[in-house]
Amino acid sequence: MSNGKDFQPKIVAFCCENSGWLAAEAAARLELGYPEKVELIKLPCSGKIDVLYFMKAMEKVDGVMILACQKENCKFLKGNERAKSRVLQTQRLLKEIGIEEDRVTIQYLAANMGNKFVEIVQNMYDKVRELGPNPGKVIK
Amino acid sequence: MKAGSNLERMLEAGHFAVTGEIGPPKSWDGAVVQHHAKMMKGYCESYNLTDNQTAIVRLSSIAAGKLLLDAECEPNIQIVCRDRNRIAMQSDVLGAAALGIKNILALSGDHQKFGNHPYSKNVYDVDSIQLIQMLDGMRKGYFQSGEQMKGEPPKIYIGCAANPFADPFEFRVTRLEKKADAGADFCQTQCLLDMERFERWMELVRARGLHKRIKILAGITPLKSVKAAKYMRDYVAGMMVSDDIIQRLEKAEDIKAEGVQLAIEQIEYLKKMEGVAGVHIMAIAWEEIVPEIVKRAGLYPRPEV
Amino acid sequence: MIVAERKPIDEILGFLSKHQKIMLLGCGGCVTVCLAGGEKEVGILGSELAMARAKEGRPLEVVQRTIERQCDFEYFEGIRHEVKDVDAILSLACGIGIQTVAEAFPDKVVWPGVNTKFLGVNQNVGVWAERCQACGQCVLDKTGGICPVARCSKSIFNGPCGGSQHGKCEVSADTDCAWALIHDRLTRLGQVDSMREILPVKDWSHSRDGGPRKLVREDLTLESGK
Ligand code: SF4
Ligand code: SF4
Repeated sequence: MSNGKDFQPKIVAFCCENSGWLAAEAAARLELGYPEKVELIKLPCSGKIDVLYFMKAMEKVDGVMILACQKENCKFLKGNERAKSRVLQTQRLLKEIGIEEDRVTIQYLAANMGNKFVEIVQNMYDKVRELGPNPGKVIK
Repeated sequence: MKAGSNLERMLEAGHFAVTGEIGPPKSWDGAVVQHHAKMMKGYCESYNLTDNQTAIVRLSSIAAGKLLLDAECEPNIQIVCRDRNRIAMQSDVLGAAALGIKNILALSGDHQKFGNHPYSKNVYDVDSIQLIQMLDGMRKGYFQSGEQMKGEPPKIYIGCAANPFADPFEFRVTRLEKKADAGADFCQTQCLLDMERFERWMELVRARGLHKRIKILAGITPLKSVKAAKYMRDYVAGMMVSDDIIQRLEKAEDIKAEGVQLAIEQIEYLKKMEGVAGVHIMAIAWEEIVPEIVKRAGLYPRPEV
Repeated sequence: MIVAERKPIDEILGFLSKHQKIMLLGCGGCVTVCLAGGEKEVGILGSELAMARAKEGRPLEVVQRTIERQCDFEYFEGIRHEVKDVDAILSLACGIGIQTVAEAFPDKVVWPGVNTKFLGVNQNVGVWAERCQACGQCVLDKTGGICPVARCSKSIFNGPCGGSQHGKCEVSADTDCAWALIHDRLTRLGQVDSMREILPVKDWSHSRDGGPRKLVREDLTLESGK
């Protein structure tokens, strides 16, 4: 797999509209920049995420993440816990076909954390960049 | 007399009976079976031959029974329901009878999960109570299907197991009653390492008059180590070991001697207990101790019947 | 319901190693309910297979379809035209569905994507337990509605055996003793005395032991012949 310096990973970040999404808006208000190849998808709650969404996204991109509310802060009580278990399930599926589990992650933050949002996204971007292109990408 | 075996005659004569147990080897070395039999010869009425005990492949109980007959000891062959269907079982019963085997003990059998072939299929075409019924039918001249046998029916003295230490406690007596109803003549209990529970069970047995319908032989196992006792208590399903027994062993200087002493005291106590017709001594891999236990328990020489 | 579990991925990838285009076929029946082979599982496995093969540089095209039921011939009509174009079908239905697919498409290779486990109940999220072995002659009337054939490790009819302790079966501390359950339930119903009766030897000819079974109901066949 090529892991050239010019590799720009594609990442999908699913965002709970009560935390991740608002944090992204806060970042925009603060005019904080983050890698442009990160696509944000709004979900009504992190609990809406499904193994299926992760897997379908992984057919096209190099890494996926879910940005959820902090522990005990989920508006729907257990959405973030469910999201966590789906991340684990997805990691298991990727692992069994030999794809790095680190390409899927869950991160927790609150609506006003613009800086944290950028930090999380940048970290994921850097990590996936290090991993190189998703070897299982189906749609290039 | 149903079969006229040594064991049957002893029990019918009202003597306190003694039976022993031999586990056939995991090889075809029949001399092992005869060696163990010789060690105990003259001290027991008959010797149980386990049928692939704990689901481990061993020399067959019926073949071992023949080896015992050759060594002039009386076999009591066990048949478990795990490995054979009613066709094979009945065929084996006929074969055993032809060889001169008269005592047959019916058991469910340990699940194969713990044996040396955990991936095998189990049979359980009939269960142990149904097997007793089948044996009883056979000695009356009928196969399980109802078809009448040709010629003389086989002579069988039917044994079974009883476990006062399994649950549900009250049902344990009902289960013995079912076995008596099915036609069992005698039962041997799981080894008795909790006298209080056994006494409570015997009370219920007597209350139903069951001891008058089926001969009860209490299971005796001389303990060799505290570890073994604790293992049985904690890990063997359907076994109980009372604290006082464990404490006695722990305090003892010579644990083996204490184990033997305990077994002897148990037998002395059981001899006086109403409804107990004898003891079944299970000293697998310690057969040589049986003569000492029988002698010191005042049961030697065995009466002539 | 029939409970199934997806086969290990390497086994499935092994089946498909020579194919370039397959149909991954889900079933809307039991396997949807037990989360082994419904529409969602088809989607997930489809991605997994496509990614695994992309990784090897030998792309696999996965046509993903889920039909109402795979154990009924009528539902295959809608996919017949697409089946023509694939090398093989990977079915996520139970063993019955898989065989029906094979029968419906006699010229097509059909692979099993799940291991069919047992007839059981969903006890909890992610937990299923066996309840019936389709023995052909139900005895639940005598056992308080608890099946000794499927739930007793030895399928005995006059239990509990000597291995029953604290309500658990001798095979494992996580397995309830079916006969302890039967005893408790009959006690609760005031019918425990019925356990004194010896249940007779079972007629296994109604079970698989009588050879493959078939059911023909004249009343219905006449109707359909009209
Ligand atoms: S008795 Fe037979 S039919 Fe009834 S539940 Fe058990 S296996 Fe199924
Ligand atoms: S312990 Fe209970 S469930 Fe297990 S084999 Fe014995 S009777 Fe059956």
